Amino acid sequence: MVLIPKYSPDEITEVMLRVVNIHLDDNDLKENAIPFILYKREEGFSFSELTQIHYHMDNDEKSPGMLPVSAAVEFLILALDILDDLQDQDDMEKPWSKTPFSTSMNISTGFLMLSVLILEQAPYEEKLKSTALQHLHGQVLQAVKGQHQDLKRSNTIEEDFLRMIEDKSGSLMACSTLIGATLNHSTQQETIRDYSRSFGVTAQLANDINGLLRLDTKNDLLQKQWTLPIMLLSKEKDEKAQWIRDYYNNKVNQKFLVEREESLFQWIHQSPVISYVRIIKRLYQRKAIDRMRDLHVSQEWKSCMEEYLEHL
Amino acid sequence: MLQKVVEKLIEQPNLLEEFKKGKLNFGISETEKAAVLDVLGKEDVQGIDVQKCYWQ
Repeated sequence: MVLIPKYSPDEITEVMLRVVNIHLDDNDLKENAIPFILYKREEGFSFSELTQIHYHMDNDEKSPGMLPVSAAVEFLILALDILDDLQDQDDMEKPWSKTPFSTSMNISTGFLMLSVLILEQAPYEEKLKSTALQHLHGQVLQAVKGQHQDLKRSNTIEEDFLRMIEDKSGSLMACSTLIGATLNHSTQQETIRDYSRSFGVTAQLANDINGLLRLDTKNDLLQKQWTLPIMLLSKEKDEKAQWIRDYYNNKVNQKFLVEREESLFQWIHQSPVISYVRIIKRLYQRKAIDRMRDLHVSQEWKSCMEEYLEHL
Repeated sequence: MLQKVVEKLIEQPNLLEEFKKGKLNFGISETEKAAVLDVLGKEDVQGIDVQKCYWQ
């Protein structure tokens, strides 16, 4: 079994808090920013885990530099998560949704800058860091493009939707993996980017299926989110598909859906659309695994990565 | 194309076994076929207790 060193979330959090203390040198600003980091820590630092796994593709020696690099990746993801939640206004329980909008946006800006700053100062060769930063810029700009398409909520064609998801979510997965791999001199960026993007789609579709099937008030349909499964449901011929179309066109309100929640839910759960989206998710998952197997690395590392990719 | 295949296999579950054995060719790729079997092969229609739904 390949040994990938562990970098504890507590250590990563410590780096993030230290950096905030130094560079966001305003007590009120810090007081608002710190709970955002602690909340993220509770959610889990899954993106930096990928960075670490890819840094350790062919070495198992723990690198002190991976702590600040992990912090940089998590600052980036946190900054973008904040903006995404503010844009969607779909989760009012997160600390950044309870803080004034302008404050949260400002903190997000700060986190973006901290991400770049920490990466620039990480203890690796300048050339490697420069390449890692190029990946950061490139992939985040792809994510911005995808996010814009998502915000327009105008995708009604499956292929366009999947392309948008690949840009929006796949790019951030690729950003995390490419940073790790680059800092350890990897030259297999194209392969890594390909399967990371596919894995990003897998993760997003898993999230969208769960979002549609959850029973509580955070349900994506109730919250009028525009996801692939909801788009496909809205195209069905059933009367309930018309309810969805009417809801999204503001012809009926939320109360209308709530009054019909049992029959609507029953229909959704039994719809072939759910199985179909699960199949698309599985297709992207298989694509990610197949492409990952093209890497020239040890079989042990590939098995570890395959297990990771399979867990969604 | 894939969506139509999935709908057909759900409507007629008896076709799944033949599809698995390669007796039905729907013109989809091997990766798509594998994904279909991964999901439909183990999926059961889960009864959901919709009374647990609490949108109110």
